[in-house]
Amino acid sequence: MAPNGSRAKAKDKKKRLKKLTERTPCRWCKGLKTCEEGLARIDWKNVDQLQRFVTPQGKIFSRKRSGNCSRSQSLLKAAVKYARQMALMPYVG
Amino acid sequence: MNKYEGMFLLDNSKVKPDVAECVAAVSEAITKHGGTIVRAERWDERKLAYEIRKQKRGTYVLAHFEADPTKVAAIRNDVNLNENFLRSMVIRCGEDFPTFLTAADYEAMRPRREEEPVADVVKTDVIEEEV
Ligand SMILES: [Zn+2]
Repeated sequence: MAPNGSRAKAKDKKKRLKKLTERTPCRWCKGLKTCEEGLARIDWKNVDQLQRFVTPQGKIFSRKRSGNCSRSQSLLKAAVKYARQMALMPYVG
Repeated sequence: MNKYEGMFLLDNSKVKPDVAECVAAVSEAITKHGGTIVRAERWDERKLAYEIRKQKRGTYVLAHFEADPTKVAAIRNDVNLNENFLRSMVIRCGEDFPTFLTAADYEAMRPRREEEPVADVVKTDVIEEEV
C-alpha cells in the first residue's frame, strides 16, 4: 500500500509540474497555422490594443505576464516604442 | 519608388487643427521632394501623452505615399526643421500599404467593453429586486 501510494503521489507531482511549465499558446498566433497573420495584427497606431500589454503606468509587461511568444513580444515592444515617440503613449522610467 | 506610411504630429497653435490645412501641410512636405500621395487624412486631434514644446494637444495626420528611397531622408529632415511639426514617423511598408485606419476606426473596433458593463448593471438591478 505505502509504496504504491507514494508512487501515485510522485506521478501527481510530475503532472502538476508539467502543467506549470507548459506555456499557454501566444494570443497572437493562437489557432493560426502561420504566425504571420497573427503578428500582422500588431499595430503601433492602435493604442487600445497596445494598452492591454502595458501597466497603467505605461511599462511593457514581461513575456511571462502577457504570454507573448518571442516574436510577438519583439514586435509589440517596437510598436510601443513607436507609439511613445509619437506621444500616443507615455514614456516611463 | 517605395511605399511609405507616415504619421505627422502638427502643432495646434501654428496649424488650424480642424481644417484641411494640416493635411495640406503634410502633402506639401512630401510632394516637394517628388513623392506622390496615395492617401492622406487627418487622423485625430487629441491630448498628447506628454508635453512637446509646451503643447498639450496636437493634430495627427496619417499619410500613405510613394517616394524615392533617396528622398525620404530629405523629407524627414525637412519635417524636423519645420516648426509646424512636433513629431514625425515615416515607416517603409512592404509590398502593399496596410489598411488605412483613422483613430475613429480604431475606436469603432472595440465595442465590447461598453456592452459588458451595461449587462452588469441589468444583472445587479434584478438582484436588488429579488431581495
Ligand atoms: Zn506568438
